[in-house]
Amino acid sequence: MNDARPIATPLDLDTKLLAGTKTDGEDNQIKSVPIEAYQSAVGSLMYVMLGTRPDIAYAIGLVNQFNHSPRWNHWLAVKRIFRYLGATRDWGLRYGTSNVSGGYSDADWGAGEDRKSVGGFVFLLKGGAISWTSKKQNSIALSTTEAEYMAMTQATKEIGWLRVLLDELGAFAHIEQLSQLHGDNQGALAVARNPEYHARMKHIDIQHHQQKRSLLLIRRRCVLTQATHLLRPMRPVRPDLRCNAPPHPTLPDATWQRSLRPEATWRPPYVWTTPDSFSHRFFLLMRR
Amino acid sequence: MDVKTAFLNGELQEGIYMEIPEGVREDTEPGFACQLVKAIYGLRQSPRAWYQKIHTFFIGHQFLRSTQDYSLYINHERKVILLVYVDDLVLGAAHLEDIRWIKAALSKAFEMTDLNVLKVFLGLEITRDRSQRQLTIHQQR
Repeated sequence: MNDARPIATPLDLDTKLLAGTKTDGEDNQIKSVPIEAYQSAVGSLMYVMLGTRPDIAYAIGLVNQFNHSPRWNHWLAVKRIFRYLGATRDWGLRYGTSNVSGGYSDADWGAGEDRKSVGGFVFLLKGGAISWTSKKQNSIALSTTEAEYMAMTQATKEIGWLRVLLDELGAFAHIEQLSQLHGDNQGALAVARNPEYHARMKHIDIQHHQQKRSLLLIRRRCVLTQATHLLRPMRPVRPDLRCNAPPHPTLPDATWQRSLRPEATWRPPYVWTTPDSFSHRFFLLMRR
Repeated sequence: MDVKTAFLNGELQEGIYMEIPEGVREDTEPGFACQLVKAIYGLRQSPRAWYQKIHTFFIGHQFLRSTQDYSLYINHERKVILLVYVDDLVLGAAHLEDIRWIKAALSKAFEMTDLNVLKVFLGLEITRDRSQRQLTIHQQR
C-alpha cells in the first residue's frame, strides 16, 4: 500500500458499512476477503491508532465490527484507512504548540446499524493528545443528549485516572486544566451541571438503575463529592516504608481555600469542572 | 537505555536443572545435569525474575512505582521519572546531573547500552525541537 492513492479522510461517511448479509452488492458476491488478511490489517491499524493516531480511532471502530465475516466493501474501507495514513504519513502528536489542555467528548447519535451510538473523547495537554478513546456505547441512546452524556461519563472516568496519574507524577499544575471536560451538547451539559430534575432524562435513571451500571450513580457520586468536598481529600497511603522520598505533597493552601467556596463559583459556563477532591474520592468509589 | 542480556540478571527462586549442553564437557557421566544459578533465556520464570530484579533496584534508589502504571517509576526527591519495557528504559529528569546519577547507578548494577537522546520507544518515534519547546511523537514506519 506504499504508493496507494492518497485520500484526505479515513472514512467515507456517505455510505454506511453494514454487516455482510444486507449489503450483497455485485462485488460482495464475487470477491471474497481472506479473513486472516482482514483481521491482520485491522490489527496493524489498531497498533498505529493506539500509538499516535487518534484521528483514525472512529474508522477503526467501524471496520473492527466486521472482523468475523468481512465482505468486499469492508475491505475497501480498511484500504481507505491505509490510503489516508499514506497521505498523512508524517503526522504525529505534537506537544508544546499551544497551551490548550483539557478533555473533549463527543458522540455520533445512533449512526451504526444497531443504533447504538459511538462515543469518544480526547484529552489534550499543551496542545497534544495524551489519551483518547472511541467506543460503541453499551446501551442505545434515545437522544443526542443521552449519547453525549454517556460519552461524558466515560471521559469523567478517564479524568479520575488522569488526576491520580498526574498527582503521582507531581504535575500538579496540569491537574486542574485537564479536569475540564468540554462537550458540544447543551442538553448534556445542562444535565451534567444540574442533575436535579429533568423530566426527559428520567428514563436514564430508570434504565441504568436496572442495568446496575448507573450513569446516575456515577453522577450522584460526583454530586456526593461536591457536597462532601469540605473533607480533606484522601491520599493513598504509600505502602513502601523503605523509601526516603518526601511525604506525599498535600494540596497547596490556595487550592484548599478554593474548595471551601460555594459550588457555584468554581463552575465556568459550559464547562463541567470537577472539584479538587474529586479524583481520589471518585477513584475510591469506583473501585468498589 | 537498553539492558544487555537482561534476563541473565534475574535471580531464580527455585532450583532448576537442565541437561548438560552438547560440547560442554564430554567426560561427564550419564545421569548428571546442571543446576542453574541464575535465570537464562527461555525459562518460564525469567521475565518475572528480571522484573523483580530491576524493581528491587529502583526501590533501592528511592523510586516509587506508580499505582496507575507498573512500568512507571518516579523519584520525587531528584525529580527523575523512568519507564521500563522489559530491557528498554526511558529516563527523564529536570536536571542533567540526575540523569547522570541514575545512568551511573544502572551501569554499575547491570551491563547497559546507552542510546543517548530518546529517538524511538516501542515503535514510536520521538523528535524534539528544543528551540521551539516542542515535542512530536509519530510513526512514519
